[in-house]
Amino acid sequence: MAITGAENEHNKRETMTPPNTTITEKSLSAVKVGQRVVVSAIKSCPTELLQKLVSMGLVAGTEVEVTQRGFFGSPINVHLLGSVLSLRSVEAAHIQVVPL
Amino acid sequence: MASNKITPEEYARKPHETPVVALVGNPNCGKTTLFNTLTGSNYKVANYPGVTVEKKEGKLALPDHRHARLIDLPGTYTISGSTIDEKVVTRFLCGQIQDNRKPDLILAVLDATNIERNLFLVSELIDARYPLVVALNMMDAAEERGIKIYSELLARSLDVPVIPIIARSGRGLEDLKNAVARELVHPAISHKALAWLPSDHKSAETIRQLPQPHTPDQLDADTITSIATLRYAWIRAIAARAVRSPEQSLPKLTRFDSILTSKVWGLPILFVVFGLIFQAIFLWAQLPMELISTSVDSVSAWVGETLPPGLLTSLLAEGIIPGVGNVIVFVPQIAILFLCIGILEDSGYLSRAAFLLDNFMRRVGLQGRAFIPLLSSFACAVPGILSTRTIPSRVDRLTTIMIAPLMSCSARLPVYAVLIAAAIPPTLLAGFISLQGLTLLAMYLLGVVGACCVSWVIHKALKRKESCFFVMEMPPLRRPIPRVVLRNVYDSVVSFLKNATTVILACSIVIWFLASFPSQIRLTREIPCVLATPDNSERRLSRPSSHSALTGRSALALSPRFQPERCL
Repeated sequence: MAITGAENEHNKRETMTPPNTTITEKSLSAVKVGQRVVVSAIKSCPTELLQKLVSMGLVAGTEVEVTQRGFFGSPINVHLLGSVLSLRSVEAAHIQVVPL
Repeated sequence: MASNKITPEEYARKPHETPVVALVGNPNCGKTTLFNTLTGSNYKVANYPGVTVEKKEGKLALPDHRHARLIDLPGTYTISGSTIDEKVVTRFLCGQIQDNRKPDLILAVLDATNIERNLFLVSELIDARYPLVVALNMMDAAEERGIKIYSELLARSLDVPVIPIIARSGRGLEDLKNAVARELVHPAISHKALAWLPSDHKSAETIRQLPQPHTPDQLDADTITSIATLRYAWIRAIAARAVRSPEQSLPKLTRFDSILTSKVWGLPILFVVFGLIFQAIFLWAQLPMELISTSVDSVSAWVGETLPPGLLTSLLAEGIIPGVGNVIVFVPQIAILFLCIGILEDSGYLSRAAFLLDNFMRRVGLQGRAFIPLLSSFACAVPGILSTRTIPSRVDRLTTIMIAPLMSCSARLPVYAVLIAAAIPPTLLAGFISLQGLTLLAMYLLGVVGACCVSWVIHKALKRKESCFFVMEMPPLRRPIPRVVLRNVYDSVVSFLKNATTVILACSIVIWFLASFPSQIRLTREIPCVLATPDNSERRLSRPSSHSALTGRSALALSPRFQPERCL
C-alpha cells in the first residue's frame, strides 16, 4: 500500500473531503502513535474476532487514537469511546482506517 | 421513578419460587463490586458445569423482605460472543445451563465513563426481549471527567429503568433494589427492540428472524458488520440526546500510567514487582509453611502415641493427618500469591504487565498474562496452576497449566542438590564458576526451555482449531478495594482446600495402604504423597521403608534398574 505524506496532518476535519479525492486507507497496525484516525472497515477477519471487535466499538465511523505500542510494535493501545483497548498488531491489521 | 415503595400485595402476584436475577455487564464495569455489595459478600462460588468458568451466586435481599437469587455472569461485550466465558453468558441467558431457567430479570451494569460501548450490550439485551434494569455505575468517575448523563432521558430512550449508582460507595443501591423488586413483580419488556433497524433496511427481515442471542458463526461477516454499525448509529443517536460529554472525554494517559508501560521503565518496574511477588511466595511463605508442617507432624505423633496401637491409629497418624497436612501446607503460598494477584488485577497493573510481555510470550504461543502463573511455579506449581484463572482464553489457560509443572519448583531444589552433589564433581571452571552451580542453573533452564518447546507444540497443534486472539480492555489505574481483594483470597484458599483435600487425602490413604500392607509386623511411615515439601523431604528420605509392604516390595524390585542412585 502506498502511504503518501499527504494523508498525515494536512487534511484535518475542517474541510469535508470532496467525493473525487482518494483517501488513503491503511490498516490500524500501520498508524503511528499519537495519530487520530477513523475506522472505515474491518476486512478479512474471522467472524469470532469480528464480533468481538465490533461489540467493543470498532465499527465504521468510530474515532480512534493510537496511544502506545509495545515492544517491536505489538500490542497496540488505542483510545476509543472513552476507554483504552489493547490488541496485537496481527488483529489491528484487519482494521482499515482513514486519517482524521 | 426509582424510589416508589413496593407494596406486599404486588408481590402476591408472583407467589412461586425465588426469582433469578442475572448480573450482566462489560468487563471492568464494576460488576463484581456491585455483586459483592448487593449480596453483602454472602455468596457461593462454583464452576459452570463442564467449563472452568467461575459461577457466583448470592442472595439479594429486596426492600420488603423478599429475596432473589443474584447470579454474577462473566463480563462480556456481547451476548453473541465466542469465547468460553461469553458462551456461558449466552447459554445462561437462553436457560440452557442445568437447573437454571431463563433469568426472570437482567440487571445490566453500565460504566458511565464509556456509556456508548456499554450500551451495545444493552441494545442486544433489549432485542432479545429480556426484562431489564440498567444500573449506571461509576457516576462519580464520569462526573470527574465532565460527562453528564441524563438518566431519565436515557431511560425513556431505552424504555427500561435506569438507576445511577456508585457501587464502590454504595450510593443509589436502595433505588436499584426498589427498581429490581418492582420489575420482578411487573416485568416490563422494552418496546424499543430492533429500534436501531431502519424499516427499509434490506436485511431487516433476516435480522428480525434471527434467534436472540445468536452465535457469530450463524452470520457472515457482512451481516455482523452492518448489524453492529447500525446498532452504534442508534446508540450515538441516544447518546446525543442523553449524554453531554466534553470534547475530549478520553481519559488522559496519566504520567504514572505512561511510565508503567514505557519502553524504558516498563520492564524494570515489572521485574521489581514480579521479583517482590516471587520473594513473597518463595521466602515469606516459608515460615508459616514450616509451622504448619511441624505442627501437623506433632499432631500425628501425638495421635500415634496416645491412641492404642492398631490399624485405625496407623491410618489416622500416618495416612489421614499427614495427608491433610500436605494440603494445608500450601495455604500460605496460595494466600500470598492471590493477595498479590488480586492487588495487581484490581489496580489494573496486570493488564499493563500483559501489554508489556505479550510480544515476548506470543513467540512461544502464550500470552502476557501467563507470566505470573509461570513465575509462581518456580516457587510451587500448585498456586501457579491455580492462578491461571486470570488468563481469559481457554487454550492459553490450558497451555499454561500444562507447562507450569515443568518449571523447577522449590520442592525440587533439595532433590537437585542431593543428585548434583552425588553426580557432579565439585570442580571450578575458570577458577570461580562452580560446575555444580552451573548444573543447577542448567536444570532450571532445562525446565524453561522444555516449557517453551511444549507450549510451542501445543500452540501449533491446538490453536488452529480454536479461535484465539488478544483483544482486551486496558482498565484505568485505580486503588484496589481491600474487601474485594481479601474476599478473593479467601475464595481461592477455600476452593483449593475443597478441591485438593479430596484428591490428596485419597492418595495419602492409598499410599498408606500400599506402605502398610501386607506387612503386619511393623507399620512404618512411607512418603505420604508425591507433593513433598523441601523442609521435610530429607527426613522422609532417611526413613526406613517397610520392605515387606507393597511399596517396599516394588521399590526393591525396581532398585536394580536404578543402580547408580544406590550410592545415595
